[in-house]
Amino acid sequence: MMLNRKKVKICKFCENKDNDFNYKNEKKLRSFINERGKIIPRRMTGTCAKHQRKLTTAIKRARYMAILPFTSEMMR
Amino acid sequence: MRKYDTTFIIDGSLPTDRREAIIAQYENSLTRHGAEIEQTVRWGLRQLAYEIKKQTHGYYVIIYYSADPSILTSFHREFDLNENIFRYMTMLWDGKHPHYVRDEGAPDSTRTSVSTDTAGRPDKTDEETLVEKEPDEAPAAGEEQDEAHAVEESPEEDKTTGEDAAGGDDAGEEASDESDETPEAR
Repeated sequence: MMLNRKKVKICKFCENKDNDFNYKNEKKLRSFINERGKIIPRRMTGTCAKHQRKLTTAIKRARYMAILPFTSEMMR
Repeated sequence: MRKYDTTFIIDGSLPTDRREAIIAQYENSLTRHGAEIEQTVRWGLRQLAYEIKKQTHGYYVIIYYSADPSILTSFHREFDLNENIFRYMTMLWDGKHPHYVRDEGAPDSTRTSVSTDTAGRPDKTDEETLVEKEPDEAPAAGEEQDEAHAVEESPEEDKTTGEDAAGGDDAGEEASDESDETPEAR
């Protein structure tokens, strides 16, 4: 599954010089979790390693504060 | 003195007056500890991403303040003791007020109705969200509160078809992550 070959993705955060990884930013963070609530790997979002790490901690904090789900089955 | 922001969630089923009493209690607690409160943001009643103590909604409050770090332990203890507080989190604060959190304002807003919210919506078509949404949010200052609480209306209507049972969706989803813009099932 060499997705990177098809199209070079640039890290959205690097591109926009965006360093705001606040766990309260639900809309932005939502785009990085899948339908099951799992964090999408960076080979699919094109995020760079540094920002993926920050993103991950933000998502995990948001999960704790019930802003994002841990898993999609939770609210069924 | 360092700058902090503390976010806490009050039981959503509490009436407004009790809620306000709780908020006042913690504001006073901070002042008593010698902190300077810069702002208290009532983020509002939001749907929780999962049930907490069998409740589906919580009232989120954020307090921005400056304080000496030594007071935090004592301050947090008060959250622990209150059974109406679901969660709390304190972070160092860089002084900026994020645009994606809108202050609901004073207690006269009777928001007991459950407004639909982005929380608790696990399924979201990927290509729609990978498009950077930030520019849309900034100008709509007045609408932002509704946006935060009432989900983007059009996508949600499309999602009434049960995408919830996302059993084996992972395979199809990886394809859509390619941003080929092939709508999954809208």
